[in-house]
Amino acid sequence: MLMFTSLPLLIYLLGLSLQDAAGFERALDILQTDWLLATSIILAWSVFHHLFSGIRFLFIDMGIGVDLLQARRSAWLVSSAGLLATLAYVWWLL
Amino acid sequence: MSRPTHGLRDWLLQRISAAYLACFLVYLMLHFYRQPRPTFQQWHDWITHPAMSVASAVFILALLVHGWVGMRDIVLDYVHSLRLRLLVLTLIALILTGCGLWALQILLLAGAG
Repeated sequence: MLMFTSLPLLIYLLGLSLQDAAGFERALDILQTDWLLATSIILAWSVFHHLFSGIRFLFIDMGIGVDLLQARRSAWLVSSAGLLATLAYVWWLL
Repeated sequence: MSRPTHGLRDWLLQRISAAYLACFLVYLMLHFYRQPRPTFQQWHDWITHPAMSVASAVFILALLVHGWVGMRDIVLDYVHSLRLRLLVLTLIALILTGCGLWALQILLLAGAG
């Protein structure tokens, strides 16, 4: 849901940043406002979690890791990987 | 709604688009890891490089397909009134199509300019 609702803003920023050098600087300024930085962290978490759980489902579709114990383990793995990747993103931001 | 007949097709579309989105996202992350602060010129040249333009256009299309199937599944699960469902699905389709055309226009303009 968040990923869907953030699409217009992301496309707007893409357009602005490709207009000219001034638009590019303005897009960077907008991205660096506090509330957008915070939103971007939540968005990054959503995307990372979605990415890893998506890969998990692809494996489950192929019949890998279907049994309960393995499925529980991979669920934990996916959630931790999502959080770790989000931390890496925050570290990259700083 | 003709959902049952299209279930497998949508399932496949969701996964094919997912694989592409995942690869493209990993590429994006690697790029921004190596070049965290591009100048306008670097950024513009990167996006308008022919290979990148085509890859981005495909990314936008894959994102639309993936977003549509995903959002539609949410609506089908949580909105039970048929009338409301039709309304919400129409809105989502319009928004996604609008976003897609807008993003493609940006790519085209950037490529031309």
